[in-house]
Amino acid sequence: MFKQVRAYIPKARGVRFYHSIDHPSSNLIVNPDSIESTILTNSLKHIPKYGFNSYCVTKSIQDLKYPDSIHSVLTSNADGKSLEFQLMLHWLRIQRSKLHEHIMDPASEFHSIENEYERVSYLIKQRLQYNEPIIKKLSYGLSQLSTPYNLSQSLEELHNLSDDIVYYAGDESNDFAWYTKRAGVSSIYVASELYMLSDTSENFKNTKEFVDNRVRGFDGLGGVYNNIEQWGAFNAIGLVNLVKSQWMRG
Amino acid sequence: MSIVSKRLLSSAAPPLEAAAKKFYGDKVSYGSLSKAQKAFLDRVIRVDQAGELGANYIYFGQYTVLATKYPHLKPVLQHMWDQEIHHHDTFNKLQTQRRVRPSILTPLWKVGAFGIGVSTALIGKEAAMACTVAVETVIGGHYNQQLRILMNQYQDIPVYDEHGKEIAEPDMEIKDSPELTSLKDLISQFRDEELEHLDTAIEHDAEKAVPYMLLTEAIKLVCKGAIWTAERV
Repeated sequence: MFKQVRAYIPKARGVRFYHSIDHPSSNLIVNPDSIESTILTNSLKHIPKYGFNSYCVTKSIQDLKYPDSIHSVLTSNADGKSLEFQLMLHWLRIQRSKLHEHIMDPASEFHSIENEYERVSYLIKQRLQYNEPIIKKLSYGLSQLSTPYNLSQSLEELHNLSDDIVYYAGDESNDFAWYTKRAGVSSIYVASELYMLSDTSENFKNTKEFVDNRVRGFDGLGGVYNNIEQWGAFNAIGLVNLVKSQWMRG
Repeated sequence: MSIVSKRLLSSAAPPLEAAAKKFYGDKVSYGSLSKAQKAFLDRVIRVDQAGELGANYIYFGQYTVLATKYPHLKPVLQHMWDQEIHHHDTFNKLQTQRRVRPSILTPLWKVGAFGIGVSTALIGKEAAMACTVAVETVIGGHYNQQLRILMNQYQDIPVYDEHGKEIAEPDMEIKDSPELTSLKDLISQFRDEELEHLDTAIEHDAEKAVPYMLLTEAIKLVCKGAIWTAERV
């Protein structure tokens, strides 16, 4: 019982704080050298067939010709994550690094988009496109993420994704808008992904339209905060001047 | 290609690379920072950004009240305020570039700092200067503390030459990555400027404020509390 209670305490393991310039290996999303990630990355190719199932991991260990006992590398972790959940998280991280590779490619279409919100929209659509090969299996994976026991780590991964998207899109906010934008993108992403699950249109045309509409609706919301602040300051100055003028009249 | 894309694609910043080139040809690369080292840098940038924002708004408050009453103080305040604005802009840029979360209490820091600036200035120009003394003392000490840690706790990062081989005893000039060196230079420069403001405030009769001890100690306490909070949330 105590073990379970302890596992609820959120851990700062995957949190990506501070993006280094001269120490690029500090910024890796997935460490390609670790044995865990070798096994899990190889398991991903079995997902289209078996879904987010621990069988993928078993299969991957056989592919790599590792001894069966190496399972324990993944199952004996201190925070009690199930194999299915680890597989799901790893899949999400790999998709996130794919998105990074995509924007680092100078030839990508992304670089011709000028508007920040259009870039957000493009990135969300790009990320959703990575769901297509496994779309039939995705709802089981998502149910892993929304299990209360796993929720804190899933939300962390979601916010890492929205932080990536907003950063790539060129966000430069220094105040509360920083939080508004990330929360907004997270909620748009979740809504769009759920919409995508039941989307039967050709090439997920409807989902793309849905993303565009939602992002357009969100456009300018970060600015709302700044507008309110400016309005407040304007009125405060006005109030001081009003008091002053009444004071003079006595 | 948009500006943002250009920035993303040319992610490496080369200010000190020239020094490294002198010894090791084109490429010197650095190993990764540990989690604790990253977490500390994250904190440094967040708290310094919030602190400079506060300083900026304190001078804004003082200037609003004092500029018309005491025209001879106008250029003094303007000079200090301009420097704070430069500090604030610099940390704003670092915060977005290094992807550090700004303090969630940013609106509170703005209102609070402006309030301190205005209220001390309303007591009198000596009280405003005493406020500057208190704030700059705490900030100067805090910057020094950060520098101490940046000097001591970042010595174990491996340096690699162009073939990916670790350099056993790297030369002083390449020991620290340009990223860390420039951050340290920045903080020590800002610290010196903050302490200059401290001297300026004492030259302008800060110590004549009544009750000087009570005022400065109270403001110091508030600043320390704000630093503690801004580092964390």
